[in-house]
Amino acid sequence: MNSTRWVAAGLIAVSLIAGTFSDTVRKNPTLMLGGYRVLSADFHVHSFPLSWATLAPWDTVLEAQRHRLDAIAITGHNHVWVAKVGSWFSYLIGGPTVLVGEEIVAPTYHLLAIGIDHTIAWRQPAAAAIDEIHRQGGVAIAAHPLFEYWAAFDATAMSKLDGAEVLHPLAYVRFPAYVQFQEFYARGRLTAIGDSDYHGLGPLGMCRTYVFARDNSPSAIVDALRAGHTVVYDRNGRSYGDPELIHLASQDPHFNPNQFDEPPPGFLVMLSRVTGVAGLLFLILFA
Amino acid sequence: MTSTTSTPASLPTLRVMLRPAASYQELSRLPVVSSKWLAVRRPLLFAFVLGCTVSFAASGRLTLRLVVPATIYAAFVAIIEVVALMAVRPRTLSKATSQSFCRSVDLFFSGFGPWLLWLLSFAAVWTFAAPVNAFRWAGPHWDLYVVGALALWSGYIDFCFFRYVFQTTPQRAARCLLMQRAISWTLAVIIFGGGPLRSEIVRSLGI
Repeated sequence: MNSTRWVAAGLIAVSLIAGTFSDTVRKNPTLMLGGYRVLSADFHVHSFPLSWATLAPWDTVLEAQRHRLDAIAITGHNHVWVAKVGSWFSYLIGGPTVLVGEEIVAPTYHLLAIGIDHTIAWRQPAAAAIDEIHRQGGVAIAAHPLFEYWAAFDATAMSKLDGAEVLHPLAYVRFPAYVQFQEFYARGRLTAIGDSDYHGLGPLGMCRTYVFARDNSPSAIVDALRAGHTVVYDRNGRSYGDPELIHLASQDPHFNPNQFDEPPPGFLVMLSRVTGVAGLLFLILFA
Repeated sequence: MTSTTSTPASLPTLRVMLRPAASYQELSRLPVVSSKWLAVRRPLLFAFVLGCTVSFAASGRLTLRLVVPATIYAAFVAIIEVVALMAVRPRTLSKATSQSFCRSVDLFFSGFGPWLLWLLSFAAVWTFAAPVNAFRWAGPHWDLYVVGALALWSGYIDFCFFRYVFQTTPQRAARCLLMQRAISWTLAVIIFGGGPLRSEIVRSLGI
């Protein structure tokens, strides 16, 4: 090995050691408010393979733990088997609650099916897909309801829909999306949902939902979603969801509505970042 | 061998990125180096950089928890590339040019510089920028333009590989390139994002 490769290998080794030692799990203390257990959740999470995601289901579960999420729904694009693997793994390690879900990617709409058991066909109108979700005991949530998807949610579909993503990372990137999500949410009596539409990029739970459930079981979470017992906060300080629960949460000093904020990186994290990027650059250019 | 020529073992990726035609012409004249390690080392580097990118993008650091499994999963991309290369390798010509398959793999992957640099820049954005800014700068729409430009650049590099390492005509090199891309990219898209593929096709065609 020439000296450049030794330098690259050394930098990457330092980065791996610093990164691995700084990679710790932060757990949420159990929070009870008004007789409900408050759960921090993200219901739109994708895993490898088949869904344009980079992390395998078990890695996704560990990442959810690291981001202090009490519950996630793994929502494969038009399939549920990856979610079932994630749910099984989380059960084994005592991780966060993993709900089996699917993002039904149809040509005219995207719909989250949360708490289902088997794959729901995408070649059907939104109202029919929602009926099938309900038959399986799940809840139907409109995924990133941009204007282009509105036509698929006709009056029949809207009367059956349980919730809508009022907050999604697109809202921070494109202002029209921020407005369209809120306008869609205002179209009906819908459960407020904040999701990160996670594909392995950035922090899981960057947009999240606070669910007020009787416990952290999948059935209790689905019941809470069906009952509209959620609160969502955006980075502009605006809140969505059940007004009584928003008030209840605001009264409790232990409730932190900004859990999506990453703590500032410490020395080890910065060391891992700088040495890692520099080491890989050397390795790529001079390997 | 003169002192001005490099052996494949010491060929910097940078040279192939910047002067692919000259680099591959020079390499095609070098004596055959036969070692199985040649078929593994650059595909492994590609998988490792991909694994590191996954770790940086997800957790903002290099952690063994993510680098190790992600490198293993990323190996499927490298394997697909090798399979596609095997499929398009002109067998009769390769005998004439006396290129061992292991060496072909090594030289082919030495042309992956643009993709590796893109992965690294992508990782750097997700690592150093605030999440909202990273979504803005490296989100799906931005990627399309960059990936398009990279596809052209890497396409030219691989064209030079087929032209000079396999010593084929320009027409045959172009055919090899298109076939290699068709095989490898189709397989990668199916494995990586095959779930909504049929629905997306229906939407795109307006069926």
